Amino acid sequence: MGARSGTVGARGVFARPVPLWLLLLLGLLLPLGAAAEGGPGPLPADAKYQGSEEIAAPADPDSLKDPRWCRVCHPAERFTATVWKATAHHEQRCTDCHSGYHFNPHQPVELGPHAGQDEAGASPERRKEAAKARCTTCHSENKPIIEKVVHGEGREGSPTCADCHGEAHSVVTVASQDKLAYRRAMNARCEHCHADEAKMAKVELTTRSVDNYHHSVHGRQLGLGGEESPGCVDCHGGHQLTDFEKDGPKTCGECHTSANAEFVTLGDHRRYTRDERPVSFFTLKFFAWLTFLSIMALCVHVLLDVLATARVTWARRRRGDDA
Amino acid sequence: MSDRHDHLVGPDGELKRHAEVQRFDLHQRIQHGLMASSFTLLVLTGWPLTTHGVGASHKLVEFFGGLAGTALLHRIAAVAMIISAVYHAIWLVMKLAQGRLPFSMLPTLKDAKDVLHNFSYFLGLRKDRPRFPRYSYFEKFDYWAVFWGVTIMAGSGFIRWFPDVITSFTPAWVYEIALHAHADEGLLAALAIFVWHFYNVHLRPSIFPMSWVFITGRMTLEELEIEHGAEYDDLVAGLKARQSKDEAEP
Ligand code: HEM
Repeated sequence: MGARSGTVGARGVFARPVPLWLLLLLGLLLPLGAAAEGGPGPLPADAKYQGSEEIAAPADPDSLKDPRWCRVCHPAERFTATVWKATAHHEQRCTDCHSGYHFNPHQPVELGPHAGQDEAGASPERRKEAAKARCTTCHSENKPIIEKVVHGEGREGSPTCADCHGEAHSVVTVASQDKLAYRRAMNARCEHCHADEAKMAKVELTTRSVDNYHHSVHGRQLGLGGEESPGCVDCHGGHQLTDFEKDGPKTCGECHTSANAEFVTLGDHRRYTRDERPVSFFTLKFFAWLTFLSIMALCVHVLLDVLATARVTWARRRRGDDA
Repeated sequence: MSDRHDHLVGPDGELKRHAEVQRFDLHQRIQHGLMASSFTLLVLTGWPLTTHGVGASHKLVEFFGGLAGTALLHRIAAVAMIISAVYHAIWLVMKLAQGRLPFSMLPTLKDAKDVLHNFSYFLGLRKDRPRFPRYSYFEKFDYWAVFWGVTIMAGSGFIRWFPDVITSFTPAWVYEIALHAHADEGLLAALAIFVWHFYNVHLRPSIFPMSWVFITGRMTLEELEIEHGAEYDDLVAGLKARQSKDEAEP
């Protein structure tokens, strides 16, 4: 997301050492005071921009929407062809999301190239909202869903698209990812908030789901590289969070073909405490003691045997029996 | 004593101390071998899931072809272990039908006495170890521990294998018990075998470095006297009785 990337800001153009000839070129192309997006008209066919050959987004030589212009001041590694091509948004131009410029580097800072942009100078919450609005410009099918679910309510601390899907400049498609890497990355994003006690306290939740997940068979399997083992969203769903009361058996049934209502309760992230899971609690206690005491008894027997053998052997040696 | 003990006696009637007695027949050795190999594989393929945070677990999983491979091998070994148990059960029934089941595995009063005797020996209160019968109390313990162990591990293992099926006719806590019982009993079984059983049958100084009985099924008279004094005494008494009988009937 532009708002999080750190590359967008009023200081942009003057903060970087841009070759003089380039500024001159820009100066020629952008008449002073031209604030309209259309800019100065077509780029000359032989125009050279810094790193221009490397930009991967579709060129648009007729307007300032040509991403090569952006590259002039934003030469970051991630906007090069190799990196950008691998991302999900490689078909998009910078201006598809970062819209509303007054493209003029010669304006005072507050009216500089990004002056018209949504989030310039806005509060973090406002910037998040703006970011969400930009994603749903294209991903419009999600708009009605996310507004209804708890994550989309726009409360303080609610996630934006990028918080769950990854930063917009580096987001990659699900299909292009290694299953395991995808699940782990997705889990990490859920945990970013759900393992944070302070954040969870604000919304009257606890972090135990995360703790319990890592102790559960599913969590342990994923930790060991189980490609078929579910991460958070495999059970809880994405935009539309799963209602386990209603859809539990169906959800679990995607892997466990005979899943039933009773089965669903096994995955409810309750803790192995006396109150929440008494059977588990006492089974664990019983077997812990059984194992501990049995092993101690066996080890003591072994140890005594060793000591007795040593004692008898030394006694015999001293008497010279073994000579 | 039968003819199968003739080879233990020399031409002059003296005992050949390096001659061997048969302890396990081929069936018993196959049962033991199948149990031992499937058990080892079960421990190796089950363990990573318990100690999932350890580097060695990841290496093991990789070695067994990923988590799917590990889980599959665990199930194959589980079936092999159950087959060895069923094999043993059938063998017991056959022996019983033939009237040749010796019942020498059943606990007796002598075992209780042997425990006390052995601990007295450990503590220096007695000079010698007990003279154990055909199966010492710790061998009997191992045998019955496997009965309990296989029942618990196979029972809980199947519940873990088919959790969705099980919960359709039992309450969820049945699965919860199986989940923990399987992991903890697994630990107990692994330690019991690799510490206690290995010490008693291989590493004890009188046997070290290893016993061949589980492979050859045989043991020398000399070893028999040390490990199973009571059985040895019975054997020698039998041989003596037969010798004097032979001498009496020219
Ligand atoms: C003495 C023999 C066995 C040992 C030592 C053993 C050991 C283990 C261990 C340590 C685990 C991981 C437990 C955890 O941390 O939650 C496990 C999991 C499991 N075991 Fe066993 N096990 C044995 C026999 C069996 C048998 C006989 C079966 C099946 C009939 C079985 C089926 C399973 C299943 C289904 C799992 C769950 C993990 C998975 O899905 O791969 N095990 N075992």
